[in-house]
Amino acid sequence: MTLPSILYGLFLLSVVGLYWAIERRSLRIWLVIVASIVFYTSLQVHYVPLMLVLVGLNFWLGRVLTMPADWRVPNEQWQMAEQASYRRRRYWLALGIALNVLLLLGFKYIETWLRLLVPSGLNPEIADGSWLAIAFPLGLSFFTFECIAYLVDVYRGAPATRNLPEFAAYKLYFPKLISGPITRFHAFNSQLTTEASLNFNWAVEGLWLIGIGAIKKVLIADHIGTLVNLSFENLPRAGSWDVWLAIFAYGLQLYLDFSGYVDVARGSALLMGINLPQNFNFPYLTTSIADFWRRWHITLGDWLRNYLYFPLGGSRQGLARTALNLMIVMLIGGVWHGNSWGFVIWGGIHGVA
Amino acid sequence: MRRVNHQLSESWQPLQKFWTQPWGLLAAWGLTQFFVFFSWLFFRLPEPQQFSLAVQKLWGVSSDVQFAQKVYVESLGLTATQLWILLWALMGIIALTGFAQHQLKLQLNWPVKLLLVPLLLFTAWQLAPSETLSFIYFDF
Repeated sequence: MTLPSILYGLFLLSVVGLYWAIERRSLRIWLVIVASIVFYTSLQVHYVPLMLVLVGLNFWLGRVLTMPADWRVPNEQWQMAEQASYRRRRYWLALGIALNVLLLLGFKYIETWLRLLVPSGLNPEIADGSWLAIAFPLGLSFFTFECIAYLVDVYRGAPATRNLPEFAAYKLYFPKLISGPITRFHAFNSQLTTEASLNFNWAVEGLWLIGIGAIKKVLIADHIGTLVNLSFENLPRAGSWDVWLAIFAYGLQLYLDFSGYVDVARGSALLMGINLPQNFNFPYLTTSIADFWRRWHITLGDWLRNYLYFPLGGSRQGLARTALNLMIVMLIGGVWHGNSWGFVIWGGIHGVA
Repeated sequence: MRRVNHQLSESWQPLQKFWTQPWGLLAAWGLTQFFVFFSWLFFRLPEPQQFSLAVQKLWGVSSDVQFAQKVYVESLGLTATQLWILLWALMGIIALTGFAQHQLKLQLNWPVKLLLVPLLLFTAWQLAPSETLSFIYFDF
């Protein structure tokens, strides 16, 4: 079941109908969890346990991060106990981030690492590498980014949730589960836990976004995709103008494909009274790369800024250091997309520009 | 590059003035989008042997008649020129929509949106290609 499709439409209508039919807030949260698990099961059933374990692990790490220092220590030892508590929190944060990053890198690079470990001179059946092809868990990148954001927010002082179902509903929420938009727990949870009734304007806006998203993805991006695929598949025979046409077409396809998905995701969420953040704001009308990153994949840009660029020092330490920080951020952004040199060059171009 | 330009513009007034003129804005838009679209080449063809072949063909390679026949005419029923026009028209629609939303602050009202939704969904359903492609970002 992928979105937008007729099956997804029926699934969404059923979930939205049940959601508004149920009055108890806690039951609505459970409905969201069950519906999200059903949605993910329809795509990749074998990774459902992994997702559930990650939800539990990050929930627990969030709780550990907010454990206060032992208040029973004598007054004269209080300062040391507090310092020990800060240190302990830093270790737990580092552990939480490392676990999420290692899991992500593990899945992204497992094929490369296995290829390095297995000598190619072995049995030809092993050497052909087909047994190494391990499916990447759908949505894992966005999932781990949200987990890291949650842990860092809690470390910086935001309250950790004590309610596992609320955290699970946030992490597994099906409209945003696969490709975002990347959402922060506290903004999402305040909407999910507010007693709300169906808002007519939001419902119309939700349906409108789903309609626009379907047009962008199915009608335009997929047709352009045919041209792009054919052009790049026949690259050895292509001329310069053909390559530029394919590049132009791919840029438009990528934008319409991804923003179409986000429109459907935001529209689906609006039907349940949840306003997910905007992810695109006419990025191809921008006049600088900085502005482009404020309007292309906005939630990823925010994530990179808040959790990578600012901790590196941002733009406060002179031109050279700012340029270095930008380059580091864009290269990491490139490597996040995949384990090929093309992604590194892509990040490098954005860093240079 | 942007930061360097910023520093230069601060110390040299004519350059600062240029970027605020219509031609300057057009140049800034063209440069930015050139970098953005060019970078998508490496995004679409991430393996070195793939993108190096494409990069070699970026300048001075004339078109192959068979390529045009197979890719444009037989598969899509259009010529390369028509495709360029269609894609630029699409870019124009995006620009007009952006202008209407950002500069004119125009939005459709809810009855119009509600009326258009079934039409949009029906059109998408009817005119979709026979094989729906998977979402590009599902791979990341």
